[in-house]
Amino acid sequence: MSTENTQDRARYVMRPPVDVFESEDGLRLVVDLPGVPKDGLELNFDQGLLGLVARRPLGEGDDAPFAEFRRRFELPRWIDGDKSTARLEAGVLTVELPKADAARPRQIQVSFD
Amino acid sequence: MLFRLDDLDHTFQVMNDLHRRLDRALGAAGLADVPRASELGWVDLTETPDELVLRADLPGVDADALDISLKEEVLTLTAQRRVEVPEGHKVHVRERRPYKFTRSFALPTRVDPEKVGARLRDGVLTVRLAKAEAVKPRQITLAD
Repeated sequence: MSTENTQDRARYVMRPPVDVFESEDGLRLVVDLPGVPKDGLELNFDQGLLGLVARRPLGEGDDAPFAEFRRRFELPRWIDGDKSTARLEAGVLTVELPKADAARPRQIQVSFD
Repeated sequence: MLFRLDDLDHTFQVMNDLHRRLDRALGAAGLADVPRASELGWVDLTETPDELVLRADLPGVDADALDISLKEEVLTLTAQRRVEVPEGHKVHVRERRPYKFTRSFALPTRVDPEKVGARLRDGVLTVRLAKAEAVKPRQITLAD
């Protein structure tokens, strides 16, 4: 899916609502994307930026115009973008962004001689 | 002293930092002015010669948290959405809202109650209601 070629079919652009949660393992982003099919989703992780573009068709067929959800997040350095996973279910996108190993809390074993 | 100022500052610093990062990222992307998608289901009601079509944005709403009923020419939609903090997580940003609402729509024409279909897909509800035969447009042919 090329942004350049399809730009003129984007009828309007919206900023979707998002929840951001943090656990010991990493960050979880939850985004409302109603009407977006799996092949309409584009997630890019580049230089600490997570870019989200999601296209919602506004009609039938390949040439149908669409609405676009766009949002971009600057992520903390301790996120390991290569290990991120995403799932889209019932119009809700969930992205798991694990912490880099160095950033995880770890148990220090202390021993006494 | 009831609390240590240091603790409090630190608590909010983490949160504020993330907010600042998000805002800065949005500003950099030129998206600060982009309209927010609605928090509570947008509804479209459209009409073709043969049917009425209602579409509602209901991301994250389960089929069993949805109730659709038709009585006379009024279509009523009840939907509930829960938005929970996952276990063991703390909250940085919370924009997605839980809701429970009921909306009723007076339909502009009579419909056939036997020909109503509803589908929930990708977080969008589509209800199709076939118009009653009596109100469908009819082609009139001229007699010779």
